[in-house]
Amino acid sequence: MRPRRLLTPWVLLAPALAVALIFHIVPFFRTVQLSFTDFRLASGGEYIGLENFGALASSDVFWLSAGNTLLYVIVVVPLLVMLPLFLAMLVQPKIPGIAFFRASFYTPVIASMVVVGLIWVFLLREQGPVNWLLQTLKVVQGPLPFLTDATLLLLSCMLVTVWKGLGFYMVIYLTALANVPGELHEAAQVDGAGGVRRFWSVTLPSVRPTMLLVGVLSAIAAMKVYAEIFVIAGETAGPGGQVRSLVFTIREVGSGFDGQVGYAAAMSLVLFVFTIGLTVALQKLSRENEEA
Amino acid sequence: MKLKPRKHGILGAIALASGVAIALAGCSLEGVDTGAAASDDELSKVDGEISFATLELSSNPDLAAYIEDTISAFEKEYPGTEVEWIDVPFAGAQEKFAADAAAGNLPDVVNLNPNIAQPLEREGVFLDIDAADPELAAEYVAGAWEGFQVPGQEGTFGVPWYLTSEVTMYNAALYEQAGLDPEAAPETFDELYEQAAAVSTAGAGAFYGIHPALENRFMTDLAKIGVPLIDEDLVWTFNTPEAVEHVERLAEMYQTGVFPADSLTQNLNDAKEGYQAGSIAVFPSGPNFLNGIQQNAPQVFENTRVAPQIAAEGEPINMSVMGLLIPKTSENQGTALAFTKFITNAENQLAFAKVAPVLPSVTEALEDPFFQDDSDGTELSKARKLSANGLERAENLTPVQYDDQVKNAVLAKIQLALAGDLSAQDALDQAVEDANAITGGE
Amino acid sequence: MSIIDTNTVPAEATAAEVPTREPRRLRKRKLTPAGLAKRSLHYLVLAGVLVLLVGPFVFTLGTSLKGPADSVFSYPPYFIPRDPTLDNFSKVADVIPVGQFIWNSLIVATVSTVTNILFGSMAGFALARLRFRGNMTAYLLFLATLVIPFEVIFISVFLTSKQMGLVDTLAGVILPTAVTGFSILLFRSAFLSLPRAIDEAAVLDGATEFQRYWRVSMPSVTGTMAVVGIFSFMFAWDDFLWPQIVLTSQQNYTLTVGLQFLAGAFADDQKVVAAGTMIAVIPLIIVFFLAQKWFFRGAGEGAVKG
Repeated sequence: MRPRRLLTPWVLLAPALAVALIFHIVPFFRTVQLSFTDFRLASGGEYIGLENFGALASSDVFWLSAGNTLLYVIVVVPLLVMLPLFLAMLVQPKIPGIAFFRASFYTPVIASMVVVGLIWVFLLREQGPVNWLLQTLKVVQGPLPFLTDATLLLLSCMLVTVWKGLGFYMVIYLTALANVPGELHEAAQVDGAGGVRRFWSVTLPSVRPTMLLVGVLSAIAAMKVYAEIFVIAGETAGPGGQVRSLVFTIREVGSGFDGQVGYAAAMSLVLFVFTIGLTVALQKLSRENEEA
Repeated sequence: MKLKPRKHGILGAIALASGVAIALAGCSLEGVDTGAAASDDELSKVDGEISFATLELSSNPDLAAYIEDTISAFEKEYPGTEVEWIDVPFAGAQEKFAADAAAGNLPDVVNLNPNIAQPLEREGVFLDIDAADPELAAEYVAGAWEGFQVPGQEGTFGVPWYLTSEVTMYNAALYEQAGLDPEAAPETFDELYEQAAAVSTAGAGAFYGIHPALENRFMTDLAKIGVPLIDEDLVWTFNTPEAVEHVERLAEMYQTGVFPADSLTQNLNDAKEGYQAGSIAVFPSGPNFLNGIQQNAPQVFENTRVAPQIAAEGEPINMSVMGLLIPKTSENQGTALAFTKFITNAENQLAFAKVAPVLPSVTEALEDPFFQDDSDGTELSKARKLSANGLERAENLTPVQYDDQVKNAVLAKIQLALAGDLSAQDALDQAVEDANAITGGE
Repeated sequence: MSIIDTNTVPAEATAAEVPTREPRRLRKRKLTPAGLAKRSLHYLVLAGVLVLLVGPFVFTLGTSLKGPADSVFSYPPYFIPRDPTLDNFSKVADVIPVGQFIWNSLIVATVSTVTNILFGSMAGFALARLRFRGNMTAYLLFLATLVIPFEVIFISVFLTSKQMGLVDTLAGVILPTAVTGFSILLFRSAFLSLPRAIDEAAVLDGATEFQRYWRVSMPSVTGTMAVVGIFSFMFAWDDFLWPQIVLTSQQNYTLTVGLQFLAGAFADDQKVVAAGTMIAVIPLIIVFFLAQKWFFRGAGEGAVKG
């Protein structure tokens, strides 16, 4: 290879690399450094070796946060991989007025979390519409404590995450669906394949790479869940703090002038390793699926 | 295409080397930049430019105009000075000031409350006002001045600016619906809770007597019934028998439906909204909230009555303090101090109180007849008078060590007690233990 | 959920719709009864989803139009103002220099959109289409930038920005997100799914990597360009924490920072807050509307045309 060609990828990557290094990677190394200290913003700190990590391992709060986060990923990611795909298929046909529906379905994405919280808290309150509906349909006897029971609170937060993410991933799927050659569908139709079979045999294989992308992106987002919990479960993360996620705990522990930045940094590092592990696992999983 | 992971690519090496080098060389493990206090000479020099950061004041156009006018007046009185005003939204303000403090970049005069300021005061970030001007303390309300002191340290690190002290607001129409006398406001906690129970019974789920708003009131309510919150050695001590009784009472009220079921995980904002929706009958709040009710819920405003803040016999009532602090990293501490004294003087604070329903922190301004004049018959004037008159027994009841982290740790346990998942005693014991673990008390 | 249900029609119906499928690309056509039923069902499902999704938007819009006699927090809540007014929008302008803030936000969001599309596609192309040592490392590095919670690093980012003289400049707001790992990943994925044949033909023609990137590949991913554009615009427009930290003077504030001033301890008019929220959201909806046409100009069409 000639030197020019050897350099080309790096020229193309240069701006992105510069931004990533200066504004993300270098600060990240600072986080790594801090994770070995008892640093607090106001008072500074000293190196304490692996003490933070030891403290994490024996902290109930940390394991609770990690468990909730994992649960969040397990529930939310499959829903956010599948539901937006259906939504995208629903708004893909070029029928009159469809642009209006597309834009409307996108509005939850741009709605502020505060307004979203306000509305969902209203819907889910004890005497709210959801409980009214459930009781009218005789699904439940008394009202469900969506906003005060730890398990239901976690589910409520997940519901909001999925609801707010639908439009976002729908947009990603829309471009992918455009790439599915129409002839494939028509050929399948001539063969007499029904909707469900066309979905399985034509649509799904064509959007598989996009599903992986959406899986990775939604998994990363779910690992970092914070705002939904804060808005729905309150600043204590539910009664007794039982609904906390990792980022919730990281923020709680590390913010303010007196925050334990070193300890929070150690927790972020663990979150980082978990997330990278999860992404690699997702990629492996999808590759195996492809080969199978 | 097939990509083989290469763990030691050129890129990885570059990233690692540069990252580690820059990160470790550039960043020490020292705390915030504390700067140095100016000499007396420097402090007496009033000239040049300063920046002045307030917390969320420009939301009110009249108030914004007041600040701008006061700044012009200062610049006129001290020719050669220039004050740049920055208003900072409350959301994210801590992060902003944290970044500023780390970079030694704090504004020359910064508006903080005692709780946010405490850790920085402790590290010596701010100018000691007692040392800079020993005569100043005498002019201010003592309880407010003490808000900017650090346990175990000499000095006062900020000047109190404006104060708010709650009054009891209640919805007379809901009182009437519950068969209570709409003119007889609750005067003791017992009365408050009895009346709240009566209202909630009458409301049968449509409206309630009171919202617990634990986030806002739990700690101050303990202080108002005489529970010692924290001792001289900064050890939390609020798990006394009186506190247990209080929590048991809250739990009983929650479980019998005196509080709304969802109130367990809600905060002050929800209580506010509930009051404005007409679904909560009593809401203790600073008089400045009255404006909000008028704008958001005109009907509820019509029915709102005000009464004095409730505290147990012989115990203090609560007030909130906002202050102005001068970082020692400031290169113009003389002008910063002069401006701080200027904007907090009696004349300017009185003007402030006439624009917004707050109380001044200088005693001279408080003696103005304006605070006693409720002849216009509005609830706002009544509230102003009530809160001004309460000031002599008011203290900043929230301990300065009660930051967000401590607060959340404590409330999490109290929520469990209310829900009946933990006994009041256990909840308080665990809350005290967790709080001490955070602040380093034993 | 829905589209599958609509498609699981009995065999006869499927057979009957085949003829209607054929002339699909002819814009005006008559619908057969079966097609009409299907179309109606489609709209019904769309309407159902609409109800589930637009709540907050309608709620905010309604609140922003409420007049002095309307209550914001009444229970049960109502959306349609009984005393409608546009005053709240002018009140927003009384409280904050909304024009200045919108201008700042527009600069930040537009520049960020351009840089994300340009630099993101460059990096994405290199990762997807070029073989070189360090490819996987670079990919993981960009992935890593997505994972690090900003709350954890913002102080170091601020210190770096200060050293670079970026404090209180719009450049300081833009640079950290001038090209995000997110944009890079989207472009990488788009370039990966392009048929290799396009590229190979270009290679045989002796095209350089730059020509392959700019002339051959870019025209085929206009859909992804639209998506990255929308997302970058939205992120930059909505971002609150970082602009607030890095900007220190009010005339530089972006809209989301400035809107915070609409409510505070001394002003709590939720109608004005809602009006401010609408002002912030409407440009995003316009951008979405304009960009959505491009979603479908994906690989197939682009390649044929290009």
